Amino acid sequence: MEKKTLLQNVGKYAGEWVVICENKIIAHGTNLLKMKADISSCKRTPTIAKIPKSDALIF
Amino acid sequence: MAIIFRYEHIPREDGTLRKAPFIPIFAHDENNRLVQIIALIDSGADNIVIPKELAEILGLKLGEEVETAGIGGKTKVRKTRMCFAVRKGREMYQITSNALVLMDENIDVPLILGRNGFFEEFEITFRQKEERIILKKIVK
Repeated sequence: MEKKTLLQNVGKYAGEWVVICENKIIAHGTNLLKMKADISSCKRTPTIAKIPKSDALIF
Repeated sequence: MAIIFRYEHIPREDGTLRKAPFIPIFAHDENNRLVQIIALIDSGADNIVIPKELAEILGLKLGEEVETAGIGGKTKVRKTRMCFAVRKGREMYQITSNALVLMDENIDVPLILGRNGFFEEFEITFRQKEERIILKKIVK
C-alpha cells in the first residue's frame, strides 16, 4: 500500500502553487502573491509548494 | 546522525505518479512567519534557485541581475541570500546560502536545491529504489 505523502492530492493543480494548512489545500493558483492572505490565515505552519507541470526540469 | 526523507509522490495529470526527491524546508516569510516550502533536491543544478513570487513572499532582497543558462536556454536571475532550515524530528540544520531568484515567472519550477549552498552542506544519498533521500550534515 502506498504511504500518503504531503503532495498526494495535488495532481490537478499541475503548474500551480498550492498552500496547504493542516493537511488541507486552502489555496491554489498561478499567482502565489494573491495567496498571501491564505498563508497568513493558517494557524499552524503553512506549506507552500509549486506543482511542476511537466517531467522536464530545466536547471 | 542523518535525516531521511521519503520521495514525494506527485500525481501527474494522467493519474500516474511522479516520484521525486522533494523535501520540506523551513524559512521565514516577509512577516517573520515560519513557512514550510517543498523543494526539489537537484544534483544537476549549480545553485539554489527560487521562483520570483516565492522570493517576494520570503521578503528576499534582490541583488545584481545576471544571466544563467539551463537546458531550456538562458534566463535572467537576481542574486540573493537565503536562510532556511532542514529538519526532521529532533534534528535541525540552519543554512544561510547564496541563491538565485528566477525572474521569469513563466518558467515552471519549484524551489530547487542545487549543489552550491546545499550539496556543500550535506553528504546526500539518493536511494532511488527505496525512494529515500539521506542527508548527513558535513561538519566543517
